[in-house]
Amino acid sequence: MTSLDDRLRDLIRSGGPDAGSLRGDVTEVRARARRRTLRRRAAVGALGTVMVVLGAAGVVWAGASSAPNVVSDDTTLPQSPPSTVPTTTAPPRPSIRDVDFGDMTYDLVCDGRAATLTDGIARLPDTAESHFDVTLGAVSYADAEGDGDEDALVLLQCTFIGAETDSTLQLRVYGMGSGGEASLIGSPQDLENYQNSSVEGMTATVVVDQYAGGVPDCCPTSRAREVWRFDGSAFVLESSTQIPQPGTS
Amino acid sequence: MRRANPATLDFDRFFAEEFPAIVRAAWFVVLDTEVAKEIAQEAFCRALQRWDRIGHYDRPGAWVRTVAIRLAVRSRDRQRRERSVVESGMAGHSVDLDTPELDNIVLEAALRDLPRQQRAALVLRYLCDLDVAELAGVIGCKPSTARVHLHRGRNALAQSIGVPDDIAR
Repeated sequence: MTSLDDRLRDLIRSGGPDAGSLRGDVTEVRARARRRTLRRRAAVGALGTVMVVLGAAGVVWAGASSAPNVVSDDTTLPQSPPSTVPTTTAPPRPSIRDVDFGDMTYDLVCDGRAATLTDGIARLPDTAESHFDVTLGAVSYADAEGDGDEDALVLLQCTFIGAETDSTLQLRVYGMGSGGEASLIGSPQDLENYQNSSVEGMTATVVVDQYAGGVPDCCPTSRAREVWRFDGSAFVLESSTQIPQPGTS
Repeated sequence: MRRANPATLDFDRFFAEEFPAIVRAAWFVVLDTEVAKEIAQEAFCRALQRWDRIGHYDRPGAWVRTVAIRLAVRSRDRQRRERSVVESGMAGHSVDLDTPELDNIVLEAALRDLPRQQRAALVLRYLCDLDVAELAGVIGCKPSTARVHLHRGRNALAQSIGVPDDIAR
């Protein structure tokens, strides 16, 4: 006799679109990847330009403050910097703490889409009656990869606002890339049905509602405090402790 | 004359071989061929950006499938329009009974009644042959949650397609 599993397996394998009709275009994939790389380079280039301008302004300011009587004219500027300023200084190593995670573009963050946050928030349109709000949560710092450099654990919240409302919490870890940009490390972790969260180092503590099998979807059956630790490549659930739900004794 | 980069050839071949399967897997979650293709393209794009690393994996297709399924589960664009589309399509559709075509329509209608995570659990179990722990890793949830998704999806699908009680256990 055919089991239910066999029946479902047959049904699903023979269903759906015919694989023969699903050829893709690899040139489209390559073009998309190229556009993305160019955008990233442009963003890094813009950041570098800003840093150079700020650095130059700092040198001018330092020179002006050390020689207040010098007329601001090219011909009167000192030909060499004061001896107290080294002529060749190695640029400071970029730190992940310099990254403004509230003004950054994140991919795959919400509904599989990219979100560019400004002042910690982005609104992604959905339909006329609904949208997604992406907001930056807590950020904490620790060395996730053991390379001696700090990395950042970043919490992002994606909230769907429409006829129903629900939120997903995404845990991400960023390190400082060689180009001075924040670079995603390992795999993000999505958590649903969460109530609140906090971070410390490479560990996030999240209170989540849990639903047992066979119980109607309306109501969580338990609540737990979960501790998720980033192990250098992915988040691992380190502990899950049951806690009382509000309204229960 | 420029010589082709071997890594380029590898990715192109990988894409040609795996793309249809990835679209099919995504389709069972989003139930829309164009959306499934778009999701697959995005998943392969991300693989290409990391191809130096992913190209050395034993099963790079599994990585792409994971990305595609996660994108599909989180994709909402057409979710609220799905039901009306399939219902209107079925209303004007005449098919012979007991044919693969009818099976497909019934399956699609039944799947539309399920949340996407349940659809993902079903496709990963029955199309991709993953066990509960593996499919939990793909969906990005705990095994206990994945087991609930699979259990509920399996029961709901059995009821929708009218599986007799003697084999629905």
